[in-house]
Amino acid sequence: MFFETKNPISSQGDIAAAVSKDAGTTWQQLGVVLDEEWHLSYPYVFSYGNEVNILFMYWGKLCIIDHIFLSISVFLSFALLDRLT
Amino acid sequence: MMPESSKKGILKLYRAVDFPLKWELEKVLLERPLVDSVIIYFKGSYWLLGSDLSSYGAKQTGDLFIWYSSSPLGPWNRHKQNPILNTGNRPSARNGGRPFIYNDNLYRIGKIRGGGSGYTIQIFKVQFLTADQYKEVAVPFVLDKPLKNRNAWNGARSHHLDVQQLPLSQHWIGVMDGDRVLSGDSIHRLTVGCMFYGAACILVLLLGGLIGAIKCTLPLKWYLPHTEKRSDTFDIEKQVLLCHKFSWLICNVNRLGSLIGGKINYRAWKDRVYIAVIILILVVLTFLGTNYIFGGNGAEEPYPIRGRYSQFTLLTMTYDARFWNLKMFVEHYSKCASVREIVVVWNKGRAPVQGELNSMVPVRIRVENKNTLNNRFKIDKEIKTGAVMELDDDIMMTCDDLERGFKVWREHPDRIVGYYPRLAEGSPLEYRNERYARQQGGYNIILTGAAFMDHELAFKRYWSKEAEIGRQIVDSFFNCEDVLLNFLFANASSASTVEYVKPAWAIDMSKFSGVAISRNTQAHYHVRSKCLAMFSGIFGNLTSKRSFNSRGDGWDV
Repeated sequence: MFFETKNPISSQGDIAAAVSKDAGTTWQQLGVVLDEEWHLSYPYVFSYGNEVNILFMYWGKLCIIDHIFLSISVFLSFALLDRLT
Repeated sequence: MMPESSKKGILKLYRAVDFPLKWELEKVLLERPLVDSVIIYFKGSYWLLGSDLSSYGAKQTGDLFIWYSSSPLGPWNRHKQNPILNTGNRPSARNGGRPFIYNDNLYRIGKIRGGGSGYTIQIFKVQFLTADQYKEVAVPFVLDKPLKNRNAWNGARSHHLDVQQLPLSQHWIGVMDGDRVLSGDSIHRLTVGCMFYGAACILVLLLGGLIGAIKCTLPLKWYLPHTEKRSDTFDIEKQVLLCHKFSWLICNVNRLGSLIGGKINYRAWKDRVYIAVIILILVVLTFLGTNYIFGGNGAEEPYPIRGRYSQFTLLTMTYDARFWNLKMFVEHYSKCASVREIVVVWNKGRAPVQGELNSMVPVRIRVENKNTLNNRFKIDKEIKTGAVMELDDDIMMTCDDLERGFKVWREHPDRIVGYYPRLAEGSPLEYRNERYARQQGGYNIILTGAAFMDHELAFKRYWSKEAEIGRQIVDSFFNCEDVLLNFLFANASSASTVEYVKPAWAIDMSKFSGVAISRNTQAHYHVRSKCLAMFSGIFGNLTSKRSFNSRGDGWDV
């Protein structure tokens, strides 16, 4: 599972991952997997060909303001499950 | 084709070089500040759906745009209807997760603004999706509405849902986000708390002025011009003008100070009352400010064990004269996060009907034929959870106390975990209250008026053949059912069978209502001592004294 995690000081979003090996009952945190200088959110993971792609938006500085304003707290997205096993 | 647009934002695609930990930029898909973007393969094409919030007013509505391509790497073609409008020419909702295909139909997950500043999830069925046409219609999304407010993980809002069919399976798996409070809750609490503190500060200054402890006189001569400076006459003129204005301001401040200064003489009796009232207001303001800033968000959350949560059934026994109590009981405890169901054992009188009780969880009323205390431990196959909390309808506790007790029970599921410790000591055994138990430093009975237990274990023991004579004693006294259960637990184990949890506060409502089972304490204790003597004759001794503050979690002090 990929999700947005917020830096509590800067309020900037990073993409983190967690993995579950018991169909979602328990989760193990894998930490931040993608950290850029700008705000990241809404990870969208899909596979194409033999690669796994992650797609998300960033929106420069405006996005951080937008982020607080629009109250986006957590984004969740699945990695394709067969890749996790 | 890359649509020419604002250079403010870009939509990027990353490729996993070492899944899931390492990602590299593959390419820029669109040079647009797209948010909530998704790509889905449907009917031979890849579709990219996202909202562009850069246009005026789009922050509130979130204009939806569509592009299509033969490959997710592009080039992307613009949809003819961009921006996509809903029926009634309103903009379509922003994406709230991964679209999914079910029975050959495409469904889009959107997020719409609910009440306040929270989002809720809305599912749309896509009726047409071609290069020049798009039409969607909202379909019902049946998800139990969270009723426990901020005690529920999604009590205030949710704005993302991802559902996927498991490979080679009929099963689907989904994940959804949620929050117990609305957005900006922490900032809101900080602001309100600071306002209370600010008001308190102003009041302190005012009080100081009123009793004359603070004298607000600023010496006027500080601001008079220095006449020895003669270099620039124009400068001096300006300075004089400025100083004149300053002195006017200071005069007014001084006048205000002298107006309120010493108005209250703290030696006079009447004025002391004023001071007392102001100090009281100060205390209240400080308390409120502290509560807002440091008191957390007010949610009483469950405690996980090894990352897992669980739920229990709340069981209470009552009858018609205590209906008023029961209403309050159900309304309050049904909001606690871990309460799954409430079972009301109805011993006497007209049972309440559906809708008479205001509950956030299912309430099952179990009407009994015989009015006996044994009913509270009756074997009940309809109880869905392993844990049952027996709780008298006249005990009011916080949800957090319940959650803490439940956590301790989950760590010791073979024991009785409760909030009222008693000590049976001496020969013959004498029933002693909590104060005595504390003096002796330990307890060996936990009252089941408020206690967690494994209902299969406890109720089977209670209704075993060996306990039959005990149940008869309970019926003859109309008392001691909890003492009997403690004996049965102690009988079955050589280790300790009781765990105490100190409640932050617990109010015994029976003190106010006048329909308590046992009003006369002394007679009640006498009866229970008699039970103790009889039970110890039949079942042997209770377990040895369990010391307070011995568990290590600090909750049994």
